[in-house]
Amino acid sequence: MTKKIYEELQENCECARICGDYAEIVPDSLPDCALFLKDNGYDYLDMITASDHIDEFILTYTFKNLKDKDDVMLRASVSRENPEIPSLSNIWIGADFQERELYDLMGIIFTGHNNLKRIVLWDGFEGHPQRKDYKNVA
Amino acid sequence: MEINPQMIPSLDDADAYEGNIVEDLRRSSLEPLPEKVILSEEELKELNRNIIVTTLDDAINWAHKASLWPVTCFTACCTFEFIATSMARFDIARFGMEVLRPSPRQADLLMAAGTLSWKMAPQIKRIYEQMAEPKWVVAMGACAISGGIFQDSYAVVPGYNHIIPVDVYIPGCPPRPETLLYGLEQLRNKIGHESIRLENK
Amino acid sequence: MSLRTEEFVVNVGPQHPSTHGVFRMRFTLDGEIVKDVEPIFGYLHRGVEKLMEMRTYKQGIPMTDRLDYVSAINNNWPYVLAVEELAGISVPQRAEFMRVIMSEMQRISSHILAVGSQMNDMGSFYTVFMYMFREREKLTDLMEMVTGQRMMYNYMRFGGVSMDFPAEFVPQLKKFIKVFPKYMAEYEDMLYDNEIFLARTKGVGCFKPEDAINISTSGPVLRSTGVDYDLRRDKPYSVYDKFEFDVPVGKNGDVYDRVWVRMEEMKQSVRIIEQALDMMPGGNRFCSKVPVALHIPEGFTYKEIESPRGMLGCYLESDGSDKPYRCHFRAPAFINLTALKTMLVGQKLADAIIIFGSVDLSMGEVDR
Repeated sequence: MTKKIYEELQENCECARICGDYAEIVPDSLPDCALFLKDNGYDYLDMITASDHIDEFILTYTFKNLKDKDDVMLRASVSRENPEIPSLSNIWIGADFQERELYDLMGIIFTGHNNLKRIVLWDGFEGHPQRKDYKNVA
Repeated sequence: MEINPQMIPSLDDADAYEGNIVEDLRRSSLEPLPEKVILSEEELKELNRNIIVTTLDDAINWAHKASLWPVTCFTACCTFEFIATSMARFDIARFGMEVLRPSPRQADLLMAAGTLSWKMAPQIKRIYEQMAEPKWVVAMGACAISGGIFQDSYAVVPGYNHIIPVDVYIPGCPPRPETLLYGLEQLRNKIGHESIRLENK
Repeated sequence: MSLRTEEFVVNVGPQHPSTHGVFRMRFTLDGEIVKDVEPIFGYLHRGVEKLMEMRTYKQGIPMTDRLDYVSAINNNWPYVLAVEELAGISVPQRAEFMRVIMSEMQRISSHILAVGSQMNDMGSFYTVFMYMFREREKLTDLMEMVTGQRMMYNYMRFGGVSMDFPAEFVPQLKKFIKVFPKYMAEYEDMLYDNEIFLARTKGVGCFKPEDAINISTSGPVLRSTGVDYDLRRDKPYSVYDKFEFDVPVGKNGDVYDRVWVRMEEMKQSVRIIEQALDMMPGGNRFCSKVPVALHIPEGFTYKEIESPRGMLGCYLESDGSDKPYRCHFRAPAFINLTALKTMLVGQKLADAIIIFGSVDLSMGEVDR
């Protein structure tokens, strides 16, 4: 079942490749892929996270289909000099706080988010602590 | 800490104003505050010689220690051990402490329970300054004493004694209710040695 | 003649007389009606995800305990599952049953606290709370018998659990389960026949199922709206596919339904514990052998479990060394908080505190 949805995704959107049980996509095609998944029953956005791989950030999105009890995982890679990716907060309100947290701790900019400011750290904190090159001053 | 009663134009400016307060406090609290000095040996001997003042001191200290009212400003997990201590099994009401006041003006004990982050530090300082004298502070748990398991984090204050002066330290993660009651007993002993003649409160 | 009115900004928190922790809300009010609410948190941000990258895998287990400190055992589970999948460690059957029993006991304990502090918010000044804490103390005693700790248990290990059940634990647990339904009936008496409770919770803070799915809520908040999804039944992990239990689903999505869902889940947890005690295999294998210095091959994985607050997940990425490369927790309370704006706009300020209490937050999980 999971394989079929990935094949349909590859036909309809700009999917880089399918690797087993997840798919890698181009960052700019993220809203199209997400809307395609939403129209095909995967309308529950589960988690957004990111990790720092020195010259790029890799973001991971998981979606769920509550009726068929199935999951889909997408990964996208953005460069370190220009860490921008379209935001999903206009489609799913649940992406709001998760994207703000990633902006706060990692410095990834979600274009189209209407309130992108720090959430867990205070205004005036310098730097993005979750990055690998952040030195602990404590 | 002064609260500036100027008109703040927008909510974003309010956030920036608070962020500045946090950064200033962080830069100025790198060392722990010096410990409060209690009675030395000679002062204790002198107290024992003066009978009338000793009885008055005993009476006032008994009044203070038998009805310490904590202020509710609990941050993290140690809260639930404090709540368990105040419930029917361990019953903190036999020490007169079951009256938890939300307002610091009506309380005289600050139970510093839980990890303190730099974002919350100005608020704790403000609560401590709003309490009326005489007031005491109990640091409960490993995070309150030294930052605990999160000591090397970028966002954690390494101990409440960087921000406010602490009287009793109670170790544990979280401390059992029996440990907490023992620590409160130590605080009551400490209050019992205070005197109205000496201005070292 | 008309009155000139204007909107007023009220700040609630971060220190306020409620057991929900350091949380702050900025209300924009028009009289008594809430026009806008902005939740502000981060007052308990400890940088757990960054600290876990600086500790070995085994040293990370006590750190996960302190995330959602009200239900500590459930937080170990997704992390341990993720490491076991990446490293290829198998778990003996007896250990799986032990994990299930301890988690369900913790679920009862956490729901007791949630309903009790909800009643505190409504003004029953510690009455119901004190009765419910009686049961929570009994459960804490039972867990102390097994793990040696009252709150931060640090019980699960890679490949099983840290110690076996002592001889006197199972008879005492059976005695507790036999007596617990009588106490549940006492709580239902206190709640469901109470006029003040019914007036303050029915029809307050209604939440539609389409909104619930769009906002990615989970747990009792999602099930109270009518969406029937529970990870224990729909994507079973560990040995949950062997048990027979119902999943309570509400109808209206108001505060009354959320309290009802939590009370019913406590009864279902008792059913699961009874079945687990009957089915648990004997013997004394409670943990597989795992090397002391654990090096995990490269890769990433994402594992989820059903915690009392919702779907708790752990995303773990490893680069072949003995420390995690990236460890992220999908915190259910953090995401359920997004629903606060939808639920509170248009309600009165006095109802806002009750609705906020029914979302059942634990600030250690929200701020991490």
